[in-house]
Amino acid sequence: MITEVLMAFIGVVSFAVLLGVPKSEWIYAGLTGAIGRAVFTGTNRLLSNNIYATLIAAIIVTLLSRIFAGKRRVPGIVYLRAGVFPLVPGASIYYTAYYIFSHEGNMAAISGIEALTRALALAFGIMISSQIPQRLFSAGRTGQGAGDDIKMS
Amino acid sequence: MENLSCKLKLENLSKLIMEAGKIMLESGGEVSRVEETMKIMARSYGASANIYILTNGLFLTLDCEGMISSYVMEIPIAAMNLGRVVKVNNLSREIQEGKYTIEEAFVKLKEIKDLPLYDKRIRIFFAGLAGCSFSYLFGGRSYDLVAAFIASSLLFMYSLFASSKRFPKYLQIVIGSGFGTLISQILFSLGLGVSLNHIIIGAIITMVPGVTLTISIREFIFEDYLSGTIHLVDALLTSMCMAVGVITMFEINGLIF
Repeated sequence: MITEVLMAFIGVVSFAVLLGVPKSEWIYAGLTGAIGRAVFTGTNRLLSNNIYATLIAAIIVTLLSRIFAGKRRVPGIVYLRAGVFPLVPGASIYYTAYYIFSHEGNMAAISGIEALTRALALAFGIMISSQIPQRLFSAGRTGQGAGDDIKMS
Repeated sequence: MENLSCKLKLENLSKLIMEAGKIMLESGGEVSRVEETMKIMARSYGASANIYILTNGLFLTLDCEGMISSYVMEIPIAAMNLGRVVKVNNLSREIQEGKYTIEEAFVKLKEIKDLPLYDKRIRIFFAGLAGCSFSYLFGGRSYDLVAAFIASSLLFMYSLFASSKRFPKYLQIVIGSGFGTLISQILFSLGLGVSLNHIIIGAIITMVPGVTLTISIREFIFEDYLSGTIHLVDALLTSMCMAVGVITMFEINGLIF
């Protein structure tokens, strides 16, 4: 579990670098992703259902990226884009196409449905967190533009 | 007299706003944020903006005391650079605080436009690291990670080369995933790694369209059906191309060995 979270941290930071995230924000992006992965694995073990786990982890990741965004006055997308990578059903998407071309229809259907449901859960989770009013995240600061209303992209 | 100044302003202002929107959109800023930033800039200079944004196009109508000017711009898909999004966002805040005239803002925007991504070697290293850590997350162990690191960084080097030569996008993905598979197979047959599948998924993770699929679903939920369709089709085509690349390489190797 600890190795897993550490690996998620490294992976997210790597993606942050590839996406051109400023150096000062790498660690926050990494934290967002690592905590998200920890929540995902924990919930997945507890409920043994990776769709709920994805949903809850997505909510947490989006919340975190909004909190960091409010604190550091940077668009939340900077943390979110890299931070959701450990939750994204990337492997399932690829395996779906892979099974289709190797004539394994059943396996393709299984991983296709997993990819779709997890992507849906992810999108819903992000959406739920995005609906929380921004002023809760930028408390203590005043003036226009103090908050960052982020939405996932 | 007043109308003349308005006309001049409209011209410069629309150029400025379009440029800012273009930089944000092509660097990976999301539609809602780009729209908000453009509107803030227009408002700060005393015009009102009406904007329609697609993932690959900008439509802007500016209104300044009844004088109207419209712009349409095609946005080619470029490499993501979130650093630029951050900078344009900060610029729009400073404009809102009244720090810059339109001309000064233009100069600032030019600087942002020339902001490069990180050095190639750094990116290649981190691409390897990404492949290695995601191979672990998908179940790869011990020497798999080493193999995934090597394959992923080599694949990223190929991607840099292919984009500098302007390969067609999907061809680039087919060849790239085939190339990644080939390297993984070579490393595997040299005795590096225990699970070929986990090496391959680590090697090609930087190409997998996971975030694209999620963006697409989110856009459908927010009733932006057109952008959602664009991203969905992109995700589907990309994963199909990857599978084609991987499987072709498997078949070729099956023939040889």
